[in-house]
Amino acid sequence: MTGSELTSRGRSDVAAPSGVLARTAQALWRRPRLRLGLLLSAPMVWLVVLYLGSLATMFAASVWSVDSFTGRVQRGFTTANFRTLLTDPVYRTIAARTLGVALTVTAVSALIAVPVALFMAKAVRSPRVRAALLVAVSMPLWANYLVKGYAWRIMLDQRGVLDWLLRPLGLHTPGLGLLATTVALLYLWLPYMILPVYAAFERLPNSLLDAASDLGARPWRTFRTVVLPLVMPGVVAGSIFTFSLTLGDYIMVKIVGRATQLYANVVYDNIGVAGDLPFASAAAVFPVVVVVGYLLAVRRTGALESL
Amino acid sequence: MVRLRDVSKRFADVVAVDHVNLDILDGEFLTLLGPSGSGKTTVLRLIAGFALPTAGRVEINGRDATNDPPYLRDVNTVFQDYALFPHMTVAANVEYGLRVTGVPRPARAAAAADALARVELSGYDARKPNQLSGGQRQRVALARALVNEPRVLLLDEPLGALDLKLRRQMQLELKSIQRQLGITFVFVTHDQEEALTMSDRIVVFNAGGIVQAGTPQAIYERPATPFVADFIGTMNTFASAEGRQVCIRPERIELLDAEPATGASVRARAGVTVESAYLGASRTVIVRTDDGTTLTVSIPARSDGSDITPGQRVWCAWEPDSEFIIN
Repeated sequence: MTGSELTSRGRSDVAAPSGVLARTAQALWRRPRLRLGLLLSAPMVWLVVLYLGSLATMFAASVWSVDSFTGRVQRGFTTANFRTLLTDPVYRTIAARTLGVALTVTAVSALIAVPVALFMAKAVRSPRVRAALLVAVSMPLWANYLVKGYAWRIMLDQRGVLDWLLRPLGLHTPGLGLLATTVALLYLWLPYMILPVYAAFERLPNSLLDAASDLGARPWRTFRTVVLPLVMPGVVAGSIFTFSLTLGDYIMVKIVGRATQLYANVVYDNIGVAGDLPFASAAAVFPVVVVVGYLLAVRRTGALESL
Repeated sequence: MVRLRDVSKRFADVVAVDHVNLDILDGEFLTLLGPSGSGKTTVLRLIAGFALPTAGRVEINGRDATNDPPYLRDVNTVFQDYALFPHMTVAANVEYGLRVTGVPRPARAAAAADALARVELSGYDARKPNQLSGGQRQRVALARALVNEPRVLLLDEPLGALDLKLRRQMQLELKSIQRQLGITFVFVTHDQEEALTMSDRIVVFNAGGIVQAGTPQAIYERPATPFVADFIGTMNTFASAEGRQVCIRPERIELLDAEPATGASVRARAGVTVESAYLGASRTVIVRTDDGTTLTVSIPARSDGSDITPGQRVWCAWEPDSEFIIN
């Protein structure tokens, strides 16, 4: 068989395909939407069934109740769980405290992240130093959560490291509790704020800073009118992380919070100790509502479009 | 007036600007011309204050501005990437300089409208920069700088991103705006044709230093160094009988069918055409002379088809005045 025969034969195979494989290939090639659908089917199953499905189950369970005599879940509609959560002063206090912690963690991490990210993206010239700083910022994410929790406990406890350091100055550690919880959560979620803010500063062209200065703006003015509006989407992106991660945390508060309760503890305690799944589900609706409300508020500012 | 005295700028181990002395006169259109990395943009940034000189002195309007931050200098810049504020409307961009210097709202709105009208962008005030074409952004950048009525306007390759036709049009517009306003333009470009078209004076940069400064005619007709001769336009260079470097521009050479009459005071060399390219208005012919020199000749294109083809025997002739010797 000569070379030319081989080529012509190869070509005719393509021109007149036969076999299931070739027909399937053609069918797929002609239907880009079908291809995309097949490609996405596995992740879609994961997303819909496991994530949206469980979320729907949670919403459904939140209007059920538990028979106080048998302890079994009763699938009849009731608003009792929500009425308790909204009217009982205990839960209202916990809700307010949780929102306060989440807002504090978010605000303080933004205040820390903006100068740190500004320094990393604009002041550091050497790419090697910049990479080292990025690693340093994300390093806490490598360590085990519990190790970090107990490290904070050792530092902040009554006879802990901080107390030992402050005693010569006549001062004492604030000890474990709400403040310790806030500090520890701030530490935990800070990288999630710094990294998107850093990315926003990276996208900010230096020529814009030159231009503002060239037009007569002093540094603070440039920062207020040019830098801040343009890195705000990064701050918003970071705040979504810090805010919702704080809302959902129940372990750190157990380690460094002493008796302090946050909203996620209500959920956890009702699943475990109380065995009241419907009430836990109703409590879990609270962070969902808050985060959705937060996202809607953020969307109104237009910050989400530039993410 | 802007004066640079012995100005140098070093970055780590690179000398970007090396002992530059330059006086920029009031109202002139001065072009800093040179290849990339020649130091021309750094000089502009030193005048604007975005960079500080390692040594030397920068004076703006009679005042030592060497260590002034940009916001204290009476100069404005049109940036290569335009540097428009993406979160502000066109009007807010143009008003920015007036806003930070405390001009009241009605006055600055009127001034911005005037500036936008000057660059023919009236009616675009409410747009955002990303809703404009490249040419329109360029005009907004120009209006944003001009609205502050600076005595000196610095332009950093402002036309580099535009297509050829738009660039030609903007060259003429910039020139006419500069003439109308009578302010000093310091224009950075690596495009020698652009420099020749627009400038009152050209300063040619190479390797961080000034190689030659002069009017476009002086730079083109009498380049001071082989670098300038080569960088501005096309130049034929060959050795004379005495062994010196003789230069002649392609358009100063005539092509003849026969040897010019003896006694006529023209230089002439015989040769064979190697290449002949039609450029619309003109035709470029490469001639290899009998003594082994390659000459590039530019002649008006003929419309009757009687054009020069490769392989023809020709005579290259030119006036002795047209040739000159470098060094």
